[in-house]
Amino acid sequence: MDKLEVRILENLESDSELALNWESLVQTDPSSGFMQSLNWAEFKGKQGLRQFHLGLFAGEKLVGGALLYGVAESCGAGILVAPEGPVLPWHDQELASSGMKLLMQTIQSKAKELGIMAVRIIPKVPMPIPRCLRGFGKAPVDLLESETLYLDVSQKESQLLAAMKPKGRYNIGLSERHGVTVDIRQEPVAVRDFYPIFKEASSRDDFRIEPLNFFIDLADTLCPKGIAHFLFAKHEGETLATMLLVTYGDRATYLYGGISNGKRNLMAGYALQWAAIKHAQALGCTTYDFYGFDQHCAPSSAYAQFSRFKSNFGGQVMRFIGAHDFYFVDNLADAIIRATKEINLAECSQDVQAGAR
Amino acid sequence: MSIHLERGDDGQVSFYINGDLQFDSRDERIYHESLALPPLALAERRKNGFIRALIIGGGDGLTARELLKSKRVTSVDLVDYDFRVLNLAQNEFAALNDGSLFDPRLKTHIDDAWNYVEKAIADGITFDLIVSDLTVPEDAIGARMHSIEWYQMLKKVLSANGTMSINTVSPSATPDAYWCVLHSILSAGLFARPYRIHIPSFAAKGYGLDWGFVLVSNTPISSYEFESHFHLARPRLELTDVQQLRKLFAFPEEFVAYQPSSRPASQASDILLHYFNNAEELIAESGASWNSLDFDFRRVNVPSPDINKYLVPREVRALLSTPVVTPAEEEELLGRVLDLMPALHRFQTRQMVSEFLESPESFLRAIDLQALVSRLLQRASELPQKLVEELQHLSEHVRDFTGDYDGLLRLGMRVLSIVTLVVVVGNLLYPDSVYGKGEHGGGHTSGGAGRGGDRGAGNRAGDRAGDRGFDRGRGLDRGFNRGFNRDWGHRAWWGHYGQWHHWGNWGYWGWARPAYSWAYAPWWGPAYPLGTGYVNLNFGNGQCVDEQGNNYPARTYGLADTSGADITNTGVPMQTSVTQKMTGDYRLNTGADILANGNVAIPLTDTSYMLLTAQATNVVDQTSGQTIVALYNDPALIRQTAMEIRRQRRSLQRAIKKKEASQSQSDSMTFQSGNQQNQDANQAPASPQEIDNLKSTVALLNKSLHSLGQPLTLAPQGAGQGDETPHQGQGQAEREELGPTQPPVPGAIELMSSVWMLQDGKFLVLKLADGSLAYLNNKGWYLDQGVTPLKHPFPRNFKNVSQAFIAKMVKDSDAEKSSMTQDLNDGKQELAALNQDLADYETGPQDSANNGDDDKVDFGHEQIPRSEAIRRTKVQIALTQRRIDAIQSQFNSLPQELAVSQKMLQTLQS
Repeated sequence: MDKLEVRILENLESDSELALNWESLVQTDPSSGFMQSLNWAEFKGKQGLRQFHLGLFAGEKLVGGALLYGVAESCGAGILVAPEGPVLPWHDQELASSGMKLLMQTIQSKAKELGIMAVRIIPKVPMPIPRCLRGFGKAPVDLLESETLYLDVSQKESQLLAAMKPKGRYNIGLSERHGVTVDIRQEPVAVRDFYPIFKEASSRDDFRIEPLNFFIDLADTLCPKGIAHFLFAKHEGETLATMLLVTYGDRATYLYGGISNGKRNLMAGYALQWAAIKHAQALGCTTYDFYGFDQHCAPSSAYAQFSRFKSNFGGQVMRFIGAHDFYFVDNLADAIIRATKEINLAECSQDVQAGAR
Repeated sequence: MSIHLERGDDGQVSFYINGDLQFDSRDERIYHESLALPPLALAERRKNGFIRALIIGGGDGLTARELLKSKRVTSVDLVDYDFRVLNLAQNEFAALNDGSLFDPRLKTHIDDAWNYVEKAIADGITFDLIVSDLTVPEDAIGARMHSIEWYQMLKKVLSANGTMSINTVSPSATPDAYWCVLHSILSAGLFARPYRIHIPSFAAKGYGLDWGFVLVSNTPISSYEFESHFHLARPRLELTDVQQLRKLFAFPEEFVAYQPSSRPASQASDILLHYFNNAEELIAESGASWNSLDFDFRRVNVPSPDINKYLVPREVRALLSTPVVTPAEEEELLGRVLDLMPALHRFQTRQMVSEFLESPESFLRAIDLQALVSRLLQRASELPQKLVEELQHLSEHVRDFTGDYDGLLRLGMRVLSIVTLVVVVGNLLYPDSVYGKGEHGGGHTSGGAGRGGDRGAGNRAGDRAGDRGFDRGRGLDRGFNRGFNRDWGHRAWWGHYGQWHHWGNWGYWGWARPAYSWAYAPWWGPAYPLGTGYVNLNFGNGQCVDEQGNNYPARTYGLADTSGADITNTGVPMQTSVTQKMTGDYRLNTGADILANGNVAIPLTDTSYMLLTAQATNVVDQTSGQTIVALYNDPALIRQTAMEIRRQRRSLQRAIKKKEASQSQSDSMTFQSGNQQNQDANQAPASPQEIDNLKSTVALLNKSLHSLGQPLTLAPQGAGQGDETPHQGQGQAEREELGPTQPPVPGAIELMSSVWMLQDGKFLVLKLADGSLAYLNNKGWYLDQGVTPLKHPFPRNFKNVSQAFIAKMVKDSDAEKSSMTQDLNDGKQELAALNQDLADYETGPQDSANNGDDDKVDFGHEQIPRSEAIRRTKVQIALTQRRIDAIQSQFNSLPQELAVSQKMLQTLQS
């Protein structure tokens, strides 16, 4: 094996050979996904995040790396995040371990410059936690779902239907019989029709959604590239359900979606999922990710209701290790000392009054 | 920077930068005429001859269109750094901006405005008129364009008698930010007159009921300048005359209250962004006005400028810099720090932040505390003595740390508070964090690898924290007793019920023991509905609405005409015949509706619900609407329900007041053309229909209180509120005064309000409407345990309801058990791996060159001394074991209730 080394990949042109190699690597790595793609990085850039892209090379061959995101101004308290990353050959423990070591060394060497005190990784690696992550600790928040449901959509439609729970099959049929149709739109402006329904669902079902700006940027970046797709289930011209589907490599992800309050008896959600699954197939995907699942449907889980719905389509439960943090102790100590100094300075300043108002 | 253009079918154009609406072609003239024409008229009045103008930003060419209406404007320099916007202006927007960018008087500069102005200063160039048409700042670079230094630069390029107008922010939506900008202008030595307008499309986007500008000059701008020789350029479509313009200088009187504390910003400061992210919307209730044209700004005592960007948010800095005097204050420190934590990004709200911080200890899990303490002690000279003392104390104990964060906190409250604070700040700076899928929404996974609680939390206040997760024992002392592991401490009185808490998470039982659901009335809850439920055309038409204006499909309840009243003293209802279907028009809680007749209904099973009335708590058959059994009104349930209704009513009354005030405020700044087509959101001035809908909801809540036999108002207590809604402290007193309802038979386990299961599972004990007890099994009901039958007919349906109710709980409990089992297995697997690692480290080959323990070994991605690897592994083992123990403890607590439930189910099924 050639010697491993990490290189910082700056401003990759999307059509450069290296960029194409990166995309290819990400797409074929089951532990990664679209959030490590350059297109997603472009979207996050519009959201004000800067990126730090590392490539892991064996000789001249790109074998891994990480696209990390962080904020520009952090007073030394920043956290660099690699959603669906780092991209490493996790199946080869020794290689993954060597790669991780090199990636972390590079990040650590740049930590001060980047204003960070920690790095957060969220690879889609199944339990148990790889030994090379021993120094990491569980993050306080999983930025991605750590348990989800994968549906193998390489099967024929009839096989998919046969593998569903009877309720799933029945409701797909019911929705169809009632004349629910599904439009698939690729133009960014569809976000305008998507968001109100999504918002209605979020307020009813009590889940939090990002502001419209987020979705406008997402649609503007990913729709023209054929990565983001809006689906609308309709009945007699009325939109009853909507979804933002992301397709990347051989995986389609049901990233966001919701059902309106109207005509719930028409089971538009089933029509929508079924159309999305078929659309994913048509685009050559072999896996449909329901993006979040609780296999036990435990009442204490906020996901119980959604999981019961998703379980009707069949699929395989996937459990990943979730988000893990590593703190650079020296940098953390720097940030704490800075904080302490700020507090001491505030004792004699107007901050006390201003803050107390 | 992202730009986004939308075209409507009618040719209407909406233009967005970074997702923020820049203009909507239907009402853009309101904005551009108001921004450009007043300073232009003033410039023309003040100067004879030609006018040289500068437009900063405004690449869409619309401000240029306004200035070029004046023939005396002979030169316009437009500086914008985004060539894409300028391209749009020359193409897509050319019809809208009258081809302003092709006007020979105009010259565009693709440049950074700061650089351009710096060069102009260096070249000695001045302008008679400057219009700043920049986007709202979203980051440090944008905020710099409202700093004192920036305005000092503009002062230099503004001619001695020149005029300038500045696009700012919404005075009503972000009053602190508006004053910050105004103070920065004043601090630069400029003279200013603030004014504002109502832009329907902005209001519809939630940017605020008004939008603010500032008219600026190097010399004072007097009111009389608007009276003579003041001519607004033509043609104008929106700004009709000077009288209308003068009205725009009126602000609600409440706006002035923000002046003393809103600090101007230097270019390094992030205070403007802080004000944005944590804006308190102005609620103008007085109806009184303050006129900026008549105001003498020389009297203004401008606060000192904010000059830095800080890691520690201002509010927290203020708290931590205040000396802690009492042990109680010391104990509360971390809780108070976390409660003061502001939003650090525009995608966040205080509510999101508060929920994000539900489990403070989770922020420390990934930190090697011993290494950190040691590192900080090495740098003791940079730290205050008090902290050093705490660190020394901590260092003596941290090596024995096994996951008891509460214990650690007691050893070093100030140090741990600062460490937690820094880590929390790091997390909040990353905008996606609050949308994460961590444990904050509940779930029993208390740490380590494994799944979290999926979704961070929802967006609805009120019914949140108490509804999910295990051991959510936090009571009304929220925030002031918060420390690590606070889930296990600081319980309110219902903590008495111990492990029954998890039953309460599912709505039904939680309602029957109402304290859970309502103990968490949020201090950060919005003062008025944010959703569109009251402006929705479906209001009262098959859709249900809640306090926040969220819409839901309405639940339907069968109700016989006398269900609510026709009962005998023993709780057995008389049969009635007329059944009607009633919808739940108002959602009081996730598990309760208020019906159109004012009754509170609590769904129990698919076929039954509880109906609260003044006489009894009726269990009602969903289909027939007949009362199955009339139970005793648990005073705690009734009072709690009434208290919550009063609270929500007050919230709606405030909303009405605000809406009415906003309606009258908007009249003064709404333009004559009546261009209101974009008004479809809550931020727009309220429609009479919306106010009517809110009022009818208040009437419904009054009806509901009446149906409970509760007074509409409460006598003022404690905090001296004097209104009908108890102060939070008062509510707490009321709850505590009630205390838990004791079971009528020792050891009986409460199933729902006024219904218990005997420990042996042989009887359900019902407390009937008249207070008497009935013992029910599958065969009948009795005065005692199966010996003396009751005379009244056996309520077989109630047996069925109880059976379904318990079966559901048992099923749910099984789901919880299997979820916990999985977590336990994950924990045990991890523990085994760690123990193996430890054994490897302890028995692995020693590097003789390094004399035993000090040889280097792999620990994750690092190479560290073997002794250190052993230490860290032992800490991880301890943390994992602690997590396993916590889950096991929860797991162990399930059987008692579950066993009783299963026995009871068998009894009812047999």
